[in-house]
Amino acid sequence: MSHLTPRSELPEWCFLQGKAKAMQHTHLRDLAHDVTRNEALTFRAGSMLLDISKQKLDVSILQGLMRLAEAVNLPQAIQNLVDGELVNNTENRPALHSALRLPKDATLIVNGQDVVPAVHESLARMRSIVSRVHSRQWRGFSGRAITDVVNIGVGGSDLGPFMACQALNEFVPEEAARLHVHFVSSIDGTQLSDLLGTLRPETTLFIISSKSFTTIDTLSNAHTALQWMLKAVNDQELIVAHHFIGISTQPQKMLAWGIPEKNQILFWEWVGGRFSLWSGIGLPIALKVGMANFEAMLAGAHFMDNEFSQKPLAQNLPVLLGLVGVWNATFLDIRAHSVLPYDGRLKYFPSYLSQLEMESNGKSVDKQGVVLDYTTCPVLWGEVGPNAQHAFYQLLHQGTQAVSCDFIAPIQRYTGGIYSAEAQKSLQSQHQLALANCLAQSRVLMLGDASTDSDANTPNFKRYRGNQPSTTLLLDELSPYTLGALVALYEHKVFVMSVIWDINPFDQWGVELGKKIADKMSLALAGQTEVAFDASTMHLLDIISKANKGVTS
Amino acid sequence: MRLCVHGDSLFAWVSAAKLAETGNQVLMRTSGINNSFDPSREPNLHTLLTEQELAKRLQMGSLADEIPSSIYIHLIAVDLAIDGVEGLIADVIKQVDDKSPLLFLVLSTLPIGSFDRLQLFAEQLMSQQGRTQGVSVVGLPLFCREGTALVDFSKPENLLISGENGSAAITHTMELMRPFVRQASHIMIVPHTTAELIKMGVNAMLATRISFINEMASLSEKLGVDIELVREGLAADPRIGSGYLQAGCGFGGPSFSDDLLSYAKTLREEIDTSGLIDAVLAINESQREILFRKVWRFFHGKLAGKKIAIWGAAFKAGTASLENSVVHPLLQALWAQGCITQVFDPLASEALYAQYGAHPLLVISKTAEEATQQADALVLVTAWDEFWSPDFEQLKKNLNQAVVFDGRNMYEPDFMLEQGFRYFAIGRGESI
Repeated sequence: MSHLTPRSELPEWCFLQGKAKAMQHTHLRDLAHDVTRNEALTFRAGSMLLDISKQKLDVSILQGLMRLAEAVNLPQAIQNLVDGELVNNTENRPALHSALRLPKDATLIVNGQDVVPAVHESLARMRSIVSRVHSRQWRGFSGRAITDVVNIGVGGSDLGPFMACQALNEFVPEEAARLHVHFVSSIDGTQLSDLLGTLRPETTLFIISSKSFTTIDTLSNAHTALQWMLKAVNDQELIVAHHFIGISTQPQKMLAWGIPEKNQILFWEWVGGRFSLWSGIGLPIALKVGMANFEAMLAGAHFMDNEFSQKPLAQNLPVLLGLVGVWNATFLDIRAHSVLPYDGRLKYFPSYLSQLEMESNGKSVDKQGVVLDYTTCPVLWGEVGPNAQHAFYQLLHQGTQAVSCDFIAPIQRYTGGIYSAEAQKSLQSQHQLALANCLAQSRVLMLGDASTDSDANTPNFKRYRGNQPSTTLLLDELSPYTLGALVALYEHKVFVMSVIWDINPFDQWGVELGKKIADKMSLALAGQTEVAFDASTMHLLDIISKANKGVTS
Repeated sequence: MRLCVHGDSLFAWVSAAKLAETGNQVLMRTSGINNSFDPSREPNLHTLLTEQELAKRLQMGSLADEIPSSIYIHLIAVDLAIDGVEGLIADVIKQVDDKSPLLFLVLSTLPIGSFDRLQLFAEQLMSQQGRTQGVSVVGLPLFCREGTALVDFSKPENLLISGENGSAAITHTMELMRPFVRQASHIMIVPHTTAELIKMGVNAMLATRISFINEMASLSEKLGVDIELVREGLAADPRIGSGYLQAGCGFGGPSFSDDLLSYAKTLREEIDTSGLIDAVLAINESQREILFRKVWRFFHGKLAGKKIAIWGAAFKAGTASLENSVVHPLLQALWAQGCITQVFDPLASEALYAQYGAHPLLVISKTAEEATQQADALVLVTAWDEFWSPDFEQLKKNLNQAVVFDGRNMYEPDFMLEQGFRYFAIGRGESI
């Protein structure tokens, strides 16, 4: 039984360690010209192409990774995930984001109950809200139609919907053209106070998104929003009925806040926060791009779910991407990973992924509670590639850190008929330029000096080390459907890595802690408790307290 | 003269009738059943058309019929976009022989630049076909208003003709219009684009006055001032005058709004500014929902299941047309909240039924009184004569609560209060 043997004692693991040691002495440029290898390391799913030929591996290593995946029972783990088994062992529940993408006629029995009807009921409620807002029949207190929607949420209730709204800006349908969707997350109120100055209470609708409906960041912003509304009309029942929608797993808590049942969208404990953009949490996406486009996103993700659960490991894109991730982080000991979309629409995809990957796999204990003796999730960050070229690429090319990268780009762009002929031509050539940069950068990162015209006389400060591995992910084009597939690809990649590492990717005890300690510190800051902290903290509390007294006296 | 009128808009019917009446032989080509304007809606028009048919000066035909080969004057008054008009011109050029020069008189309202484009189109087509007889497009933008269209045609305030001044085509047009030239207060012969801009400008200016007074009405209401007195004061100044200065629930009508949107688009394209006309349109869009907002506020946003009586649906009194009427946004908004609407209109019931048929929340009433039975409020949309002095006692009995929302300022607020009504109007009455 594989789960009884620690991962690092498995023969498949040891085989890969040996391969990794040998690979430390190989430069990527030595692998670069093997056409057969290249063919063997390029994969396709639908309109998506995955090229891992710039990774520091060969076919035998990939096969070794496959054997490791088999040894740790990855196929069974995938089945358990999509079947609704209790894969989240510390919280004793399933992680069923894939169920949110099931078509209406599907069935999925969890705890003796089919979850699909409830999922589609929730979608129907979203559809009804979207239709009322888009037809300008969702009215504010004065009878005017809503023109601005403000999503108040943080973490999973913010990053996913925000990322998707930015990515799909070109897909806003005619009926939503005049609706503005805003996002507010920061606990200090900066974003909210900036935003409220530009909005009119009578035409503003707030969405309060919180899985637990207890997140202090969100509730404090919601409180400020409510006070702002009450200043316009001092009638809380009227205001909440027409200006607040709640999205949560906790109907009672929403009701206690004042949100009536008809303004609630529910989801379920088995949806993880960072996997929740497919649920009611995705309402801002549907408001921005229309329900049909939101459903196209779900369909794209569902396509990837099927790929994940049905394709053999060797042709399974999420599996391949996950295995490559483990190979880099654990076996090659590359502790930083950068995500570099060559498409400005995906600007917030890296920050979305930094939560998805690091909150999921930033763990150091296995599922049995034993401390791990190998490296897990790398530090992940990123930026729109061409912009990052003017920022941190210097470190990638000439720094001392090994970094792995994901280059992501659509092949086609600006194909729609919304541009004038000249504008379209000019924009298409800009996209070609971005693509050229994408290919050129991944090539230099791979080859280093071998790709330039440097010679023996080139000084060291002009030299490129190369040898930085990368994956290239090409989409035919970016659309709601392909975005859905792309996001699901990474969700499943994260799961694959967690299975190899034997960790639970669905809890976040490190984050829960932060929520608790802040409460205690709030009391101390308000001078309402005499708790003793460490010397450093006591000193800072003292300085702040004295400064505040200075202001008030 | 022999001429052919293409189309079934108000302009088409009126010009066909009046030109036949003055002795011309007119062939009228219409779409038949689905006319864009029903001539019986316009006072005296139907009678005049029948007379001309009996006198054999007017012959009715269909747009589907073949175009006769020996008529050289063609009035284009179709409700088509410019591509459709080009198609029609191409058909005429194909069918008509080359014994005489061709004259196209364009009455349709088209975006700025269209007349020049049509002239060029016609010339190119002729030269492609090796025709040498000459072709001219002359613009004849009409200012006929529904309800007074025949008089507006025969005694125009401004007879506006566009084309090449001094050309044979203009002389020909003036000859055709001679009976009306004598009665016109003002005649202008100008280049095409000038005429198009005048036509757009007249509509835009009138719309601006309406949005202006509506904005003042909102302010008056807030300040507790009666907008009717303000209006009277403004109108007394001869520099301002009284036309198009009535506060109400927004303008509509078949061509008014389309023309303005087209004008706003041209402005944006040519001088890259949104400017005044967008503000005019934005005020109007808001004004078109003002009745709904008053109802909404009166019931504190709890409208589900309420029964609302609506008097009038036509875009103005005297017509059966619902085109761009404020009744549409009102009905849509009330239905979206789950209100039952009981609507009475003396002329537009059929059009209402044709458009919304069996909408579960729509009841079309046979009389004004029937519409108010057990209703929670009465909303007045169109200023039909019969609404000026209803039996207020009976009205109060019929309504569940005596509340009236008047979109046309037909009643006196003090009188309504005496009668025991809550009365909300535009810029007067109770503020809400």
